[in-house]
Formats: sequence, structure tokens, C-alpha cells
Amino acid sequence: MMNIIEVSELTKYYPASEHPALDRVSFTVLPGSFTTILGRSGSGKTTLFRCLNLLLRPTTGIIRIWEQDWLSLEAHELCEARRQMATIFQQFNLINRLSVIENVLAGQLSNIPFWRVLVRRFPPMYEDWALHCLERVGLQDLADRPAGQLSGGQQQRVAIARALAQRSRIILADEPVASLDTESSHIVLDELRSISVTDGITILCSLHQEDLALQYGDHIIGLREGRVAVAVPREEFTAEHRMQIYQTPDETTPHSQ
Amino acid sequence: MLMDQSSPFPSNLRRYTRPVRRGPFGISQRTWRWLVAFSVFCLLLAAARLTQVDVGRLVQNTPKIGLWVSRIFPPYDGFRNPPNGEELIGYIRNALITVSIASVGTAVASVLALIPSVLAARTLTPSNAVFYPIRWFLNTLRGIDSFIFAIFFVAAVGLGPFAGVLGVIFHTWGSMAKLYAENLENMEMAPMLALEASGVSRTRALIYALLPDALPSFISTTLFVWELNVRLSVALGVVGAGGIGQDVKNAIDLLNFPHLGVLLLIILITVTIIDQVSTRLRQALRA
Repeated sequence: MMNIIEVSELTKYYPASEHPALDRVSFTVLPGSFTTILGRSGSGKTTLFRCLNLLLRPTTGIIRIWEQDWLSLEAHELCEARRQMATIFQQFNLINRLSVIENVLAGQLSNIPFWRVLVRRFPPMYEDWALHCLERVGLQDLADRPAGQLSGGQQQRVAIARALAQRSRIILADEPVASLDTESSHIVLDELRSISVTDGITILCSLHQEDLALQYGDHIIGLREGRVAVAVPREEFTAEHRMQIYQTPDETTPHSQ
Repeated sequence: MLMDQSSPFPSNLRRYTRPVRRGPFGISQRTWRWLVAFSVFCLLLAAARLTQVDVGRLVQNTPKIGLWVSRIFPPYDGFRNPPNGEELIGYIRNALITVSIASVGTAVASVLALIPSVLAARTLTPSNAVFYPIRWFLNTLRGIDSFIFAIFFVAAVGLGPFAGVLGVIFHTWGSMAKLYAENLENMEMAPMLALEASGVSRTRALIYALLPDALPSFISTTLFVWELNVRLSVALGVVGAGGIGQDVKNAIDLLNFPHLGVLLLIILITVTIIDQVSTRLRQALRA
């Protein structure tokens, strides 16, 4: 099968840092798969995601998405390209003052005329679609509540609904459950898992808990100090792999971030 | 434990010496503080010289000032009548004109300030090449008082409140944009950046994600500036830019103290009402 994401030799140096945040990272992702990126904080997970959705320019390397060269896009093509991916964040990043459904509608913000953005009114069919997306995550009853009033787990599910509303085929989830309790974490990851299975959406989800990564991911990519330490299907993950990801680094090697 | 006769504390304590913190030129910070205070005092003394502050002159003329005040309140001094009904209505009308000058000026300025404020907010500006020119432009507007603008516009468009409105617009445009920009810089950026990450253009993300958050503080700022402008607009009449200031100037020129008294009362009431309205509205916004 054709790969949906191909990353090869991706390296990112931040200015004034001699250690790369990403060091020759290469991996591929199959369409419709659920890949978890596992690694301690500072291992380069967020940097990788920011490179993938073009918020950060890698120093060297190649990213191909839909067989399209992702890094040679012109400035005016960036927004269009980013729309092919939805992002979910650790801190949810909803617009707290707007209602839940208005937050979900934001997934379609690029597809309505500008005057509608100004008056914050979407055509009715967009609202129907947004409600449908909310139903998918089971929050249709909270549609008119201000997003800021919801619990963390609920806010993250609204963020998933927003990602669904965007109709992109790829969802990048950067530590989506790091601010949530265990129960909410499972609800949120179950939700992601289910949209991956039923809609065939490709999910790239970073986590720092190994048990969650093994429970939900089809594939595990382990990052350590900016390098791919492990890249295996879930069934092949072993204690040795765990060591390669989590083993305390030698005290003489400074941290990369 | 051994107790010294003269001290309430044990006598075997270790000696503590407070470290001397040194500022520039090896002079201790304590000395610096006194030096700075003394220099400020000297500068103020020089400023008082420049402004011809003369306590003697004030004391000497206190009876005259007292007499004036006594002729202003109550507004009847024995040989001039307080304003009649018709004059009173004219004064109230002019007070309303003053409030209107401030209101129209503030409203127009608040709209004009919107786009420059985004460009002048450090967190949102597209580039330094836009940021600095916009900041200079706004600082220039802000640096020139509406009173000065009004003198200019009286010369340009003629006497009357319209010149006052223009004066308020131009000065307030600069101040308001700067205050808005500060509001914007304090906003939570993450929701807007989240939309941008999924391919929404910066303009759309700003309008949809940042504006709802910023709007209450924008309105609060606008009300505050409006209240300030009402007070400042009284002075605009003095340069012929309309409103109740013109009447105040006339009353002083003619030494018409009863009228002056009534005018001051009208101004006081107007300003108090506006202050109250603005404060209440801002409190309601915060709730």
C-alpha cells in the first residue's frame, strides 16, 4: 500500500543550540493506521509535529504527504496544505468564549465567505455537519455551552470533533491526554481509535505513557533525543525497545533540548 | 544561658554584619538613594523657578481668589443675575454638544484604531517593517493633544464642534490603537495558533479566535477613553471648537461669575453622570 506520510532524514536544529531537536528522523505511515510516537518529554515529539504541519521549517530532510513534497510548497500553498491535516493539542486550545458548536465549526472556517467569518454565522448545512461531528464524540447535548465551561476530557473531545469537522484524512495529536486523568485519557483515545477505524483517518499520536501507546497504536515509533530509537508494529514491541526509549541517558551526554 | 545586664538577648551570639550593596562608582546603594532623591528635589526646585512659582503672590491675592469663589457660589453676586431659563437651556445644550463631541470622536477613533492595533501588537504584527512605522505614526497622533489638533482644525474647517470632533478623533486614534494593541498582546494566543495550524488564514483565525476574547477588554478600554474625552472636551470650546467650554471662556472674559458658577455646576453634573455610566458599564462587562 502507498504510504500516506513519508519522512526521511529529517533534522532540525534550533538557533543557538548545538544539539539537534530532530536527528535524521525517518519513518513511514500507512493510510488509516494509528501510529503512536512514544518518547520522554524533550525527545522531539512536538518538534516533529510542528515540522509536519509546516509551522516549523526543518533544517534538512524530506517530508512527503500524499506523495507530495511537503517542504517545497510556496508560501501561498501553506494554508491549503495544512488543511489536509487536523491537529489536536495537549492544552485543547479551544476558544473558551465561543460555544462548543462554534468551536467545531472552526474546522470549516476556511470554506465560508469572509463576511460570514466577520459576523460568525455559518450556513445551516455547516451547522448540521458540526452537530453530526459532535454526535460522533457524544457531546451533542453540550453544543450551546461555552467551551471554557467543559471539563478537560470534554474539551479534548470537542477538539476531536473540530478535527472531524475539518474532514482531513490525517489527524496529528500532540500529547492529547497529557493533561487528563486516566479515565478521560481512555475516553479520548478510544474516540481517536474509533474514528481511525470507522473513517479510515490516519492518526499520528504522541504519548509519553508506554501502556497507552501499546494499547491504542498499531505502530510504535520511539523517539529518544531526537532520533528514532524504535519503529515496530505493536505486537513486536519488547522490553528491550522500552529500554531504548526510556533508559536514562548517560550523565555525560547533555540533553538535546 | 548567660545574660548580659544591658541586653535582653544572650551575650554569646555570633556577630552579624549587614553587607554593603554597592551601586555604580563603588558608591553604596544607600548613598545612591539619597543622591537620587536630592537631585530630583533640585530639579523640581529649578522647575519651580522656571514656572515663576511665588508663594508670596498667592498669599497676597488670596482675598481676591476668595472673593471670586464667593461670587461664583452661590451664583448670585448682587449685581449680575444668574442665567435665565433660556440661557440655562442654551448651556445644557452646549454641555450635550461637548458630550457629543467626545462620543462621536471616541466612536470613530475606536473603529479607526482596530486595524493599526493589530499591526502594532508585538504578538500579531506581520513584520518589523510594519510594526515600527505604525508605532511611530500612532505615537505621533498620541503625542499631539486633541486641544492642539482642535486649534489646527478650527483653522482648517472653521469654528464649531466639528473641528472638536476631528481633534478628538485624531488624538484618540493614536491612544486607543496603543491601548488596544496592549490588550491584544495580553491575549491567549494558543486558540488562534491552533486554527492556523489546521490551515486557517491568520486574518480569519484572528477574527474568529482572538476577537471574541479581546472584545470585552476593547469595549472597556473604549468606555474609559470616552469618559476621559468627555472631561477633556470641555476645554475644546476655549479654542472655538464648540461645546460648553466656549460659554466658560465667555463668562470668565466678562467676569460674569454667576454664569460661571452655573456652568461649572453643569460641567460637574455632566462629568459625574458620564463617569458613573462608564464605570457601571465596565463593571457589568467584567461580571
